[in-house]
Amino acid sequence: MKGTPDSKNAKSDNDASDSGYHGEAQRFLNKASATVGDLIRVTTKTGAMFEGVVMPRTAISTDEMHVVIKQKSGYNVGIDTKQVVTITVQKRGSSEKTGTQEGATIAAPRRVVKGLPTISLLSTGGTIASKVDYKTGAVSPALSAQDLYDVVPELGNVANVRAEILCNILSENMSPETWSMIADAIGKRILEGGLDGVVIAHGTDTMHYTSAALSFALRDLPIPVVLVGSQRSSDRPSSDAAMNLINAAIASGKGPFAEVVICMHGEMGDSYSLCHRGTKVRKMHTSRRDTFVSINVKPIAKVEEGNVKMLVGEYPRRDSKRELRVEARFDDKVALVKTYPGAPSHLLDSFIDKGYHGIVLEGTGLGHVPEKMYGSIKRANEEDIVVVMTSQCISGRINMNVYRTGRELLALGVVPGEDMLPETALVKLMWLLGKGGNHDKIRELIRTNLAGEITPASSAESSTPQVIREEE
Amino acid sequence: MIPMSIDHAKVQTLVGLELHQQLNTREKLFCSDPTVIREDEPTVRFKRRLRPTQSELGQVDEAALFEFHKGRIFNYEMYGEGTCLVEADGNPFKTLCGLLA
Repeated sequence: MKGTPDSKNAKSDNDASDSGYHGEAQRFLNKASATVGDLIRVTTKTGAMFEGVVMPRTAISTDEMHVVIKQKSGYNVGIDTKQVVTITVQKRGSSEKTGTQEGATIAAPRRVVKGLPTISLLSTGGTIASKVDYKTGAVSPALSAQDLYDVVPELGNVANVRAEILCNILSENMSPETWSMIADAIGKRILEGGLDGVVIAHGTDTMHYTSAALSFALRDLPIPVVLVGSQRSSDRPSSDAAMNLINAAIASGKGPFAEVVICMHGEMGDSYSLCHRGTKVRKMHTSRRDTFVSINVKPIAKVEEGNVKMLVGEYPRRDSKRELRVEARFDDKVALVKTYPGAPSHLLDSFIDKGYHGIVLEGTGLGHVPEKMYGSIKRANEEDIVVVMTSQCISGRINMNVYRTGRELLALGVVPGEDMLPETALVKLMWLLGKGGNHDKIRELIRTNLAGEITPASSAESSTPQVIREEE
Repeated sequence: MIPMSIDHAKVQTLVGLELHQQLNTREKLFCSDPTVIREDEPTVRFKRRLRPTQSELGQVDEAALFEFHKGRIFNYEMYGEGTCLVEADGNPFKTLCGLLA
């Protein structure tokens, strides 16, 4: 989960002041001048007395009748506002952020440790590097490296972390501009020197789009860039957040590879994480922690018991002397369109009419679309729109030479996307168009391997006909 | 700080007793699995570490912290059918009012 529903429904991504109370419950609190965080005492019609700190409602609820308070015992109780006889505010809640200053903490403050890799941890949102700020009902990003060490003390044994917040965006709300911003931020910090790796904390929904974008935008990386997220919210003991963060830090600090990867669980349990090449990875399950899967290739590395083991022989090696070049412009007038039986012939027309520069088709099978769309495709080609074919099969390779229909599409100027993921093809086309240049040259570059996104052959071992979970 | 020895004459010992009663309902509380007791060997196994979490007030329970420092590994044992991703914490569960968490 990417955080409590309140944070998703708050007025803006950064406005976390919605307490979750509305209707009668909100009026009840207003009348008593009580807010979330205040210690209140109520007596009820049955003669009971309850005292506790007002908690935010952390679920979208149609319940307008109850106010939840946390008693001294730690137990929460819901008070039926209709049953309340008196209510008094005993103590105002502090307006400072609640943190781990009170009560037990997991870690003591730490200093920089010599001999450990130095990594930059940049947070873009999501629950991975966050603290649960229940005062406001939202999950907020960890504010400092110390916060991170508080929540995940093992980080202190793995790396010296320089933590910063780049932004706090639900990943489904990101755009190519976000990718540019992240790429520029990474580039700046790498060029400043002193880093052994970079970790990007990111929402899992569109992490594979960002990993692809960074794979193209960061040319000649000297060190690893590891994207990481968490599927299970960090307010549960079995959350995957801590292990993901630790293993991402290990991968970025010690990994011998110098490319953009996603590092997440390799199985349902905690025994190891896998590093997936940023252009060949996709989120394949809505909720499982091993949701990210390498498609058409093997993952490039395994992180297990504190070590990074490479699973492939070919990969760009870590080299601190390599000079990074950042090319972070993306053209956002590119659409990704999934076709289906009965799709209207005008499916592409609005993009063509609005002057889009590229269209990535997510067709069926080897690379087919309904025949009645051919007219639109012809028109797109005449407008010099770059049209690329990928497959909604996800696994496998495009081959438009097998059937007559495929060959007709080739004749209409459609570029086969080889074995690229539809999402990766979208990002790549946005990046190529962003660099500018002749569209015929771009059509050629689409089919050229630039960042590991195209593999020459589909071996039986690494092809993924379906995602098979051993447990099922 | 856990003392190395405890003088029981000087401290008040508090023992908590928690009783669990399994209910024979049609479905489990948080998912649609049946409430059956089985003797056959589990077919799905994996291991996890569990961590203490912060309360709503940003505090960590001392007992949970103490347990965490023991560094235990938790063995999950499940069946291919009759147990599901909710129990494996691989899926959000339905709450009583139909919301997902």
